[in-house]
Amino acid sequence: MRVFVVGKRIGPRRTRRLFIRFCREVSRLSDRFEIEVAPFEITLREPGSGFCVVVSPLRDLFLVSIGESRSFDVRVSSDESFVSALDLTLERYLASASKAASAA
Amino acid sequence: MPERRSSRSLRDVSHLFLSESRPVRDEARRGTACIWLAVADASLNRAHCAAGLAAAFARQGMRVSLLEVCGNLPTIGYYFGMESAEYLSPALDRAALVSGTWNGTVRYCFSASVSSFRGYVGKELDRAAPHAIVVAFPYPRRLSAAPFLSALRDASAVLAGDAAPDGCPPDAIIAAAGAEGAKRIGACMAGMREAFPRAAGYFVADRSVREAGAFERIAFPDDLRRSWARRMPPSDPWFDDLAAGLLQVVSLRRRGKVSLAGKG
Repeated sequence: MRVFVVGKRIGPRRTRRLFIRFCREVSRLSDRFEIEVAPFEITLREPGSGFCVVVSPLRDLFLVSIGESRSFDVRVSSDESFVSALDLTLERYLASASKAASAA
Repeated sequence: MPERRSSRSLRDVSHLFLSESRPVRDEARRGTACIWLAVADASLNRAHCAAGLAAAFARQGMRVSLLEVCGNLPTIGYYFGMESAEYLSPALDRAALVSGTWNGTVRYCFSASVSSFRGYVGKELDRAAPHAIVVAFPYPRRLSAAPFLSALRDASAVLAGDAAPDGCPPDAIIAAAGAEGAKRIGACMAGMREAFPRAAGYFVADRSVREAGAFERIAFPDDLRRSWARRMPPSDPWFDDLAAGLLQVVSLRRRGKVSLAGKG
């Protein structure tokens, strides 16, 4: 529910829907995610694997920042950029989980 | 329980994969085995397990039809090397049905909606080879899973084609769970056993889960997670061993040599 509230910062309805879908898909990657909802961003973090993604709604788009250092952002405003951001997030998540398994 | 790592070729057991009413070799070519993989949580990676099992059947000369109800990512499309726009389409449209083939031996389809599989028309594979049907899905969280399982049975019949015009119940069920699914796995196994009492039951779990219920337990090796990020089906011998064991049990049960593979 709080994701909907944060998503209201995004103007275009289509982009707002993508924002909600993105948060839903990423939150389902793992049952162990800790989800932190702040007024201007949503952080999903998995303890143990080191995976972290921050989703920040802006006026016409939302930003996806992967990794604790937020080394790069993906700007999402269309289906194409949504798919790119989700693909990248998924790959990073799986890589983190694999790395954690190797280290264990 | 120690992990079973010895690779047992399906060729060693595929001659058993038949009913008793026809000559062995002819029936082996006609045989169909239907395996359902019910996953209680995200921690074992449903798509990775399903792709690995399908590839294990294919490596031994079987034609494989793989169906996945994808409640969460990744989907099997990720492991069969699909473009991101394709394998992620169920994230944009729950009713989207995505399909493809791999190496000419595996045909696969996936959707977030079980009703979408009615429209699946997959590429016909080599009909001379024995047929393995693998159906992977997240076990529903709602109280009654019966309507979902019934719809899934119809969906898997689409894959069986002429071989099962009235629906395709599973010959064997694999219930899988990691630490987060430990509380739900009991309900999953009970629901599956109630719906399909004649199917052989297996329970795949990592070390953190103690419960095994009425199903035969198989340990999930932790190191399988190392190949999660690779965009190809895993080829660990664990999958070959699992596939061989499943075929062996299915064949023996069809011959009436064992009453139940599991304890239930």
